[in-house]
Amino acid sequence: MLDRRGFIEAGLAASIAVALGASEARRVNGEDAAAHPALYAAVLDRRFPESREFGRALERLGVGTRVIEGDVTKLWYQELHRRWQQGAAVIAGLTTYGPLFCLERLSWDHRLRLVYRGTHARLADGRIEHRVCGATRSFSVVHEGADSLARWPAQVAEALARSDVRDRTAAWRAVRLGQEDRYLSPPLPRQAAALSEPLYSWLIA
Amino acid sequence: MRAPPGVSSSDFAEALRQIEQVIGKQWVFTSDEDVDLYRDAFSPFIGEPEERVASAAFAPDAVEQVQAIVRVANRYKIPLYPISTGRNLGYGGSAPAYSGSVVLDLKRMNRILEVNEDNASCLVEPGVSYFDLYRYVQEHGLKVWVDVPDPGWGSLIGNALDRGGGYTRAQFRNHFDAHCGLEIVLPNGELMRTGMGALPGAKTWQQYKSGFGPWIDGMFSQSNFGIITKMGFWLMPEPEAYLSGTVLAAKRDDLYRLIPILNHLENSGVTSGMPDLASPLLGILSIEEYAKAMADKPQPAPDPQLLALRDKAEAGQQAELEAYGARKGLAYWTFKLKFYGPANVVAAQWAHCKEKFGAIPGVKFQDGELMRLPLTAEQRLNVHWPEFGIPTLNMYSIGARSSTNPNPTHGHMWFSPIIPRNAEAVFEANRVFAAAAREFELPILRFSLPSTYWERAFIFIFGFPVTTDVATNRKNRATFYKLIDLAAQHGWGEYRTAPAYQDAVMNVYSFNNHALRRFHETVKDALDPNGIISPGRYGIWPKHLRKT
Repeated sequence: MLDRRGFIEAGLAASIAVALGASEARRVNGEDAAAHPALYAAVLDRRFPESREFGRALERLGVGTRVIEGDVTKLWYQELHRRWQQGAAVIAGLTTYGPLFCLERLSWDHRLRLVYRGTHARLADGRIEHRVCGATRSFSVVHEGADSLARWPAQVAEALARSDVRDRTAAWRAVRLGQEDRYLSPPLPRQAAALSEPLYSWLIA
Repeated sequence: MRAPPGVSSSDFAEALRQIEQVIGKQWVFTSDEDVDLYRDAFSPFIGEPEERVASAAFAPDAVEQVQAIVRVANRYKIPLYPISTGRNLGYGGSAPAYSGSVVLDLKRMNRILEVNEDNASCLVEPGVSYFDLYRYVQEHGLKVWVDVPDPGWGSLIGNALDRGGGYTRAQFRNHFDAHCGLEIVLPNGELMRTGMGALPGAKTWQQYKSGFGPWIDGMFSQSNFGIITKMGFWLMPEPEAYLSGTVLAAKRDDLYRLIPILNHLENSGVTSGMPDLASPLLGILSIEEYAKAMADKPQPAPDPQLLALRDKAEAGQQAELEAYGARKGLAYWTFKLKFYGPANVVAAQWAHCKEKFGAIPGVKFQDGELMRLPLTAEQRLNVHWPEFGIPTLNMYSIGARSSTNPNPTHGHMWFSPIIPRNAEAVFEANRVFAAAAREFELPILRFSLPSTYWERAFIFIFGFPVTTDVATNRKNRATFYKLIDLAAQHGWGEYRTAPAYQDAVMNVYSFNNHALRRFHETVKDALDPNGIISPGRYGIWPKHLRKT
């Protein structure tokens, strides 16, 4: 039992979805523009090299990025709140859990939903475990071998940019169910000490 | 589609049809995708049949719609659970106290009806969040502050009705106390206003609280006697300046003198900002220090010698710890006082505080920066925003620090007993709860200092994790119940709690054979004979659901 301050430090870690009906996300075909809504922005946390790499990958695809340091207050108050009041705007991110927790709940006020979530955590042996569910289970198409996720932040970004959200309800249910696909990847080169805490990739649409 | 308990499917279907006529089909939520959003993100019953969930939700956007919904609910005996923004996380969130109730989501009722700068007041609807009102004040250039909780994404009305608090001056920190005037839809669908709002044409609804006759506003806080559709609040005039000053005391037993002096200064109005109690020697950070520590890289581990001395001090042998503090220049206790007002006044107030605390041998002082208000952009980087009436979500930037965690937390529940405002109670509470932590196999509870949201009393706020493991959650719930009883044995009762524990907490407020609860039930039966408004909230059950 911790006092209030210590408790908050112990934190808001991964939220594993509870059981609901499940539905397989459709595979991406890359040809139906309506299935792949343009990303309004990608949120990256400058404190984490993986997140910065994620942002760079999306910038190469023409997606604007928004930079935070764990706190979404300014991003939401100054931009997203107004933008979402004008209509749906799809956002993606690779952040710690707190920003995802906040933005997901704030998006509900605008009838948006979390349609993809990935959890990326370093295991004791240094490999990275990826657990993904929802609209971008097409992540699987990039998993072709032991080294295929060696540049996973960029690969996640690329997969999110072509996510299939035609059946948003099914994608949302898959996230809520927590039926995850699990992948392993080696540590990122030159960043053996990276991924100091779990990061979450996500798509709100 | 699930009907509420005790309501037939056909009756519920007919009720939904009638309500769709009132508010529009698009605002009646029955699909899993929509109703699931009203689950308590921090429910201690995740994955268990006992989790309290809604059967549906309605989202009206006008008082007349709320009244019509209440009439339909009475007709078909449908339990409603009004929420404002549904972000009462840690105290139940948006899930109903009575599982299967229909959530009455008042978020669309989000009008700021008035902000009166001269009167330093506002009148708002339930869906207005602290961020909404802050934005309004900023955009209109008004010289008033909103006292905000942390985080600030909740509703003014929701937070005040649950008797939450904030961080600025005492008269505004207690959010319910800072209100002035209510508009209520009663359980029979009638509309009532309290205070001067009951006098048609009165222009003093947000000036004079009690009106005439019994002042009943309090009955609508932490209760289920009606649905609040408007609430007035007194706002803090933007002060000219802010000053802080810290009192540093070297010895453990100085606490016995520090607290009475603090109480006198607060009760006399000399200092009205939220006192920030900390202990460098015991590793208890102030609010600002904590926020900075969490935002920065992980802090270095404390000196092992200091850790060992802390253990000894907790066993009652504090002399070595005090000697360590003297060598290293670390105080045992720090009391950071805060002042809002004209620059010359706050300076004089701090000077007076130093004079009073100076009676304690060995005490030292640190003068804080005098800040002219509003804050500059640079100043904003270094302060705790809620102390300046600025809402934030920054507390959610604190992430899990371990990369592998077999049982990640899913949220928290707050255990928050009220204890007397004196050192004896602080030491006793620490002793009692530390012993309880050992007995109930909880993580070791280091010495804790109380929170000072309220004048006149302290609160101890402890967090209980909510996990994704059913067995762990069951164990934690059982422990929470034991703590409620243990605290009550010492005369400490919770000021607020989640629906999972509201019956248990109400049960310990048992003077004269539970006269208070029986009074609540009498009122409930009179006002809401069908028991449609928030059954079970704060332990108030309608007759047909009352356990014998």
